[in-house]
Amino acid sequence: MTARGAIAIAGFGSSQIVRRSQRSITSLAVDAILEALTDAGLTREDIDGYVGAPWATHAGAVHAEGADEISCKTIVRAFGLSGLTFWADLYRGYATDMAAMGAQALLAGSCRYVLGVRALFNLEGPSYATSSAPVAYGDDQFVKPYGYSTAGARFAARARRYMAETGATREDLYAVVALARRHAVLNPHAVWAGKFLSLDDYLAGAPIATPHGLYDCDMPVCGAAAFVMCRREDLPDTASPAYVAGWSGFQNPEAVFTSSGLGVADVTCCQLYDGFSSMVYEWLDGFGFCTSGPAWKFIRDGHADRDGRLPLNTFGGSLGEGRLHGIGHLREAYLQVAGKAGARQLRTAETCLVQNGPYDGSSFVMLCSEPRFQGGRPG
Amino acid sequence: MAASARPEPGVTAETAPFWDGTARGVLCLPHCGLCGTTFFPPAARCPHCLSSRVAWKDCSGRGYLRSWTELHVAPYSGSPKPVLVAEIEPGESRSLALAMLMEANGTESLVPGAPIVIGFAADANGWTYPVARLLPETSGTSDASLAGERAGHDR
Repeated sequence: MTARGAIAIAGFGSSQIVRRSQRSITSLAVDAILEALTDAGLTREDIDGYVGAPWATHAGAVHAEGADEISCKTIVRAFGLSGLTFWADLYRGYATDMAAMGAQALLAGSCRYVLGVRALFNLEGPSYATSSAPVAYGDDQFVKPYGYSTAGARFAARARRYMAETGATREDLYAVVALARRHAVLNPHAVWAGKFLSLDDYLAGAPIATPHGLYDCDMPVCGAAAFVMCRREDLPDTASPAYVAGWSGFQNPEAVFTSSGLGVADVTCCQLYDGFSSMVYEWLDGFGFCTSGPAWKFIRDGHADRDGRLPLNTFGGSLGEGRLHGIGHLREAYLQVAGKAGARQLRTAETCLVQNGPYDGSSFVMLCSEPRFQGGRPG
Repeated sequence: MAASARPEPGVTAETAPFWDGTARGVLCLPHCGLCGTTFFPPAARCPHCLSSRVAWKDCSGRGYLRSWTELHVAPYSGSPKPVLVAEIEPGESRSLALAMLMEANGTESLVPGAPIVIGFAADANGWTYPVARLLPETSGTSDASLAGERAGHDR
């Protein structure tokens, strides 16, 4: 079943996004939920559906509820939700998976207003990237003893190979980081707002996993974002919607186009996952957005800038805003498509592709400013 | 109490032959006794045809460098830094890539596709792990003849 505009995101909210916080992940999540409800013109009593993605993905995560993870059961208590008729916490899922799951619950009639919550937390104490587990279980036994799962080593190796094959250099990775910093200027939530980075300073950054240096990695943060979804006929009068035109999961990326009836040429802006700078190349190349050469050249030539052919990560991405693990990308797509991006509003933002996740585990959502129905105008 | 904080393999029935292999200095890989597919990581059934006729074979220890990264963040407390982490395609099945540490004189001479030989090194906890090294006679040379062979295995 496809959505094609039957389902909308009705509102979005964010907590503050900071590198360290004395407040808990629960407090930040509740801040984001309150803002999302206000934005959508709804109250707590309207919410009868929930979708989350609680997993803390960094190697040093302690995976403790209320510390660096938060699930539906805790949100329900903290926010006084009652009467949920649908809930799901997606194990190792992304914000894009959350939007797809919410849309499917609404299409199935399981609920009327779905709340989506994603929160991240950078704890004092434990090292963010270093695991203290004494045993590497399962397939991890073939990667963890070598550090292959540390600090994005496997993505760094993939970037190294990409650079060897396409001729990209660290100056070209810098172009991705510089783009993120330029766009973050207009995002008051961004941890790097107003902090430009020269090429010299970029190259002087500590090596992390070559070719990635310090500034190729997104900043661990404490922060949360939340959204509300509903069917088109249930949109509150005051809400500015972004319609969910289609989606796809990690085993069939192309379905984001077939399910929405849209093609690459219809996409007017993109929010692509950039946990490491080199990741933005994956789907620019993979979906064929760059007709004149490899993605690194597309970005270096300015085509991903606000006034370029395909504005990319117009909120600064994770590299500019901080590591919200993809819900920042979904939030920006909503704000742009709904015409609520304020100082960073694009002139043309009718159709935005959102991608979360690594090259081999990505999911996708297409948001549109108007409902799109198969075979003509909405009834 | 382990002598080092390096995480130790959580060995199961499915993975034990691999670690038994490294202990005797041999790269051992599982393959399917029915359809012949070599696969990794180890599993109770062939991921291609789901046969449970999993067999193990001693490999040559030759392979090819797919890619690498110099990791400057300690993956565990007390780890040496930096470490060179490589993706190695076993000569027997180049569609696979195994992560392992690599020993090299710097990274300048490394190129994707470079032939390597797999050695073995025991650590303070008594585990023996594979270690990749460039084949001396081909060190630093690009292997153009492999380009065609590699093309079918990319991504």
